[in-house]
Amino acid sequence: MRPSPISSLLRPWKRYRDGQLFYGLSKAGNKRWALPTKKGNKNYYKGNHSSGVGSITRNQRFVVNWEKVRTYVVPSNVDSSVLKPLVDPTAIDVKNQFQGYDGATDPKLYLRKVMEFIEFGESESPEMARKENVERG
Amino acid sequence: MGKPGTARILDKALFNVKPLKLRPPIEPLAHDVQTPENHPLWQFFGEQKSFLRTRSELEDIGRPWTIPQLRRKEFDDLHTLWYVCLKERNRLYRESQLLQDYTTRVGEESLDERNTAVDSVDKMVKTTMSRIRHVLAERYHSFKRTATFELESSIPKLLAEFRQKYLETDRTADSHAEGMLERFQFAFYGINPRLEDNIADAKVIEGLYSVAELKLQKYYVIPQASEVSETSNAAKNENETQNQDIIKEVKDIREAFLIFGAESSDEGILSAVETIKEIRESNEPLPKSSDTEVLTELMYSTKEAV
Repeated sequence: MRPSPISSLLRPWKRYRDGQLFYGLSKAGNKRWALPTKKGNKNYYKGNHSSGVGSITRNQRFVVNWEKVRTYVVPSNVDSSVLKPLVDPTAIDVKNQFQGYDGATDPKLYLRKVMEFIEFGESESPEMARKENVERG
Repeated sequence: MGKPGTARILDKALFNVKPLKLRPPIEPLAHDVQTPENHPLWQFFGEQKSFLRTRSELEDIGRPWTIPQLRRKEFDDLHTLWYVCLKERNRLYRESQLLQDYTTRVGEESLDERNTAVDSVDKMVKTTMSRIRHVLAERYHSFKRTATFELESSIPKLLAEFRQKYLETDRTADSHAEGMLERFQFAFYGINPRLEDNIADAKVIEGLYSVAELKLQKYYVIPQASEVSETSNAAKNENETQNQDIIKEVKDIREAFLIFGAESSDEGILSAVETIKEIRESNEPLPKSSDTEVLTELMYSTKEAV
């Protein structure tokens, strides 16, 4: 058995030029603990998925990068919509069979739907219609 | 020595003050506070604006949307439904917090049961939301699979299929055929019905040619020259001159644009064809290389005219 190189066994593997480790405090010890932000060294950046929307300039000004700022597009008809979060319990339980196609993501089905849209527009095509409680999908 | 300056001023001020009248304190009461009907915080309440819904109101309220049901909805509907669900969850969360607070303080078991009812409704709404995501993911994946697989090979087949269907549609259903053509140009070439809203790129130009050709084939009745054909030379010559007048195909983007903009009827196409004939008499057909420039110019001029 070939001995593995020591560098590959050390944790962490990278060092900064000043000799500081890439993150963390030690290269030995228990590896199975979470590394919280308080435990890391000065180079450790964990983040909380909410920052990083800008940068600090040389004069300690924060410049917001609006490309990174999250925006939520709310439709205008939310309050006037007839849609409800739950449906009537007596509604028919419809099944999709995708007969002749390889499931819902089949490219052939996609193209067929495009052709049906061209021919029938908003209205329902005969292939799409429900038979008892089965639909093509 | 009199009083110092500040004290003197204070004395004068106090002399002018009217005696205060003490009134009984006004207790803050709920019915004194009037909330406007359209206050945005009402969004945290249901339609009845009740403080807490009863248990019977929360039970048998419905079941989550199923995936087949959601598959029939367009993107805008799913987008709206997502936010409808989100708002409902906000309402439920408000009620659940109130119930939790109350049960921990008072320890009433019946309220605890009601809280489980709130939680079960919340779970169902959450299911609806996750299914919306599922359906959208499905659409995304089918789009991706179509874009990578067999799209190139199947487009000529689909074009031929559409061509056949379009040309075969009954002449009594012209409006249906027009709608078909509009959807076709949008689906295959991304052309908006208002041509001036498009950008003149290769795809739009390709679409313009094919739409113009389809229209010409469907609506342009080629004048029957063979009926007059006799064996005499004079008639032959006449035939040839007439053949020049017959327009079988679109030669440049200007002609395609004219036919594209023409009304979908015999008369509409005929008048466009007449204009094309006039143009052909005096001008050579434009080269294909200048298509983009010419189309941009034409679109710009129609925009100005509008």
